[in-house]
Amino acid sequence: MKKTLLVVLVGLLALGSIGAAGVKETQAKTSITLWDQYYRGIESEIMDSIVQGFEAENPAIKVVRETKILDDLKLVLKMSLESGTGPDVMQVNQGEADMGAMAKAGLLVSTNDVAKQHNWNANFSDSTLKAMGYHGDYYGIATTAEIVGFFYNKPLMKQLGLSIPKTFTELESLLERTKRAGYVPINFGNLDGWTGIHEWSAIQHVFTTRDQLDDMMSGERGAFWNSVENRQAAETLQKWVRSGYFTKDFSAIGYDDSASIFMQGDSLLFLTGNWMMGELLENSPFEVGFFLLPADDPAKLKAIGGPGIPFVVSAKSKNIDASLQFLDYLASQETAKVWADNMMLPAQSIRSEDYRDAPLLFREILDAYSTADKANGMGYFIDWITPTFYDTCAAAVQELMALEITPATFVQILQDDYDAFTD
Amino acid sequence: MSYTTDRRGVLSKSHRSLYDSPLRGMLYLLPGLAIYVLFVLIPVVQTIILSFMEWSGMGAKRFVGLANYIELFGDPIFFRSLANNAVLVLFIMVLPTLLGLALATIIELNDLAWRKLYETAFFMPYILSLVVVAVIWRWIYNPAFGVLNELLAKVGLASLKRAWLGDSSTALASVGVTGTWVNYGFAMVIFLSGYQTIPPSLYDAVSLDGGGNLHKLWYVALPSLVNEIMVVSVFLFINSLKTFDLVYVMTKGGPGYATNVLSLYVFKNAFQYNRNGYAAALAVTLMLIIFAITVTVTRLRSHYEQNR
Repeated sequence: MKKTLLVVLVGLLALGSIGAAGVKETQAKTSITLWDQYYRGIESEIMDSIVQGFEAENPAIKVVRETKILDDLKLVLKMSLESGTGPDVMQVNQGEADMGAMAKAGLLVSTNDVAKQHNWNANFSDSTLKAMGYHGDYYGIATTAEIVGFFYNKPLMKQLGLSIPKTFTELESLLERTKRAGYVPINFGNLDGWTGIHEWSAIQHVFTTRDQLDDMMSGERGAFWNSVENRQAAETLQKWVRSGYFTKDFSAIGYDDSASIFMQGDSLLFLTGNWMMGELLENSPFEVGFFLLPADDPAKLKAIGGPGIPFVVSAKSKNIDASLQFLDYLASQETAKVWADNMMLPAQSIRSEDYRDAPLLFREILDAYSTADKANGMGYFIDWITPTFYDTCAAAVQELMALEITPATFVQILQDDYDAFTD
Repeated sequence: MSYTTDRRGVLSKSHRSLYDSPLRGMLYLLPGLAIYVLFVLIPVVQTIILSFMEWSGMGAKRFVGLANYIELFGDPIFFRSLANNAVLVLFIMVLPTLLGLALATIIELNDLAWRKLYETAFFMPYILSLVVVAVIWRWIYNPAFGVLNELLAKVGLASLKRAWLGDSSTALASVGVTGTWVNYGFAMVIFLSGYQTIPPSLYDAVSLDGGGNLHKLWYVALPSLVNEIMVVSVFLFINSLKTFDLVYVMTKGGPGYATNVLSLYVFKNAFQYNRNGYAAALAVTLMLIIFAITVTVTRLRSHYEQNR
């Protein structure tokens, strides 16, 4: 009996010491909480593998990852950050309403110094780093990038004897010839509003100079939005509507439906972002290509786009150093490779030649991104410049394309929205 | 514990406890009251206080007095939204009430076979989630492959084909019709239950006097259904001013501001524009409008009841 008791006792002690060792080990590890919105299947797997890669390189740090959909993330983040119960690292949309408001409230850690120390410029251009920050300061690292251009129906392009336009004038003649041949030149649906912003802004990007566009997105006071070039872009859009270049009844077609309609094959072009690539590769019955909206003046070649939603560090985090280390890992070429291997466009510039086995469409997108980047032509998603701009611009484009307001009124509406915020 | 009998000879505890205290009834109310105070009263009071502040959702709140309310009365989007809500009252309150009354009357007075089937079929839309309803109707209205335009073309009315949700002249009515479709079943069910309380002898009396169904409706049913009509009207009126899901899913308030409604505008101000104070002022105004009209309708009803 005594013997049995002894064995049990020894056993318990041994178990206890193992448990204690375990506790010691977890205590020694720094744990950082990460909130991201990569909840979709493949994206979530990529993030998991990035987190594993980071933990393998930094055994003293443990990343606790939580995924949320973007709307939830936006709703919860501000309150939880301020109350100090939020995550250490999280994804925050650029722009006044989100990153701007948080940076102003001192809730985010600036990454200006870390960027210098770790030479982030080797992987990102200065404009990209700024695009991941706020008002010229660096705040975050985005791992993916987005670029908006024309997806096109390759067999139809060939059938009509057309080729990728090199200038805006060529583009307009391509639209006219497609229309005359009885096809829809630009597949489009604007029920959701934001797609119309892209339609106008894509033209605006190639009508304005780099400085004009940067001024518009500077947040500084000034009459940047009611410029002649912006008005001309609006006039062009109305001209295209009058010429019947868009899908019939586009105002009542949603974005997802418009993608399905494109795949029916009756239209030549589809202006949208690279995020549509996966769906087109998977579901389109014909081969699809990609090119950027061309400019008449090559110096004005700019594309809507830029880095995706950046990861930032909370100023209330208890583990700021470990969190910044994680950001540094996100900025590396290893991370870029994980995304590109899965046919996602990384924010870091990479060479399409390194991905010869990937589908041609992906390589065309990589080339378009690097062309725009090299020409200093990565533009903006203009909708975040003021908190109200998305709704104002979406509503105004809907009215512009319904021919209910004039181009002059349209640009004035944008200018008024901008003034109301910068005054 | 000792027991005594009181003057009526009823056994009671000699020590008074909470159990036989007159406060006992109040105790039963406590859980409900706590939830009401916590989740309704306190947020409402906070919203009212917030409507006098400027607050981005982060950092300090700044007292701005009546500035939010003054701004509101000069805001064209507010008035546009209010006007849109007024139109939706027609589609979500008036039409469903009339339609529900008509259907309930037809079912009740004609003693239809398959009665339960009709009741269930008409009530079905009401139990669907509004988001599901909105998605279904977005498909119906779709100009490229929607049923509505197809149907119009098939019956030779191709000239009536429209970009229903994308045209500022038809978008609001299109959303409104969806609202009618959702709510008429609810009105019908309430009216049917109202019909159950009408004694058949009253109808017999009308029949004896040589009256038909229309007479039964006018002289017996309608006066007996006044309470139900009031309940349905007030309930659907509040629903029509609160409309959010349908608009959010179907049009996001567009094209332009053609279908923007107050609750959507409150949501955008609070969660997109970071203008929590202004959003609170809008919400308080909406609450006051609902309150004022509901009180008026209830007063009218008691006035009618007294004069009967």
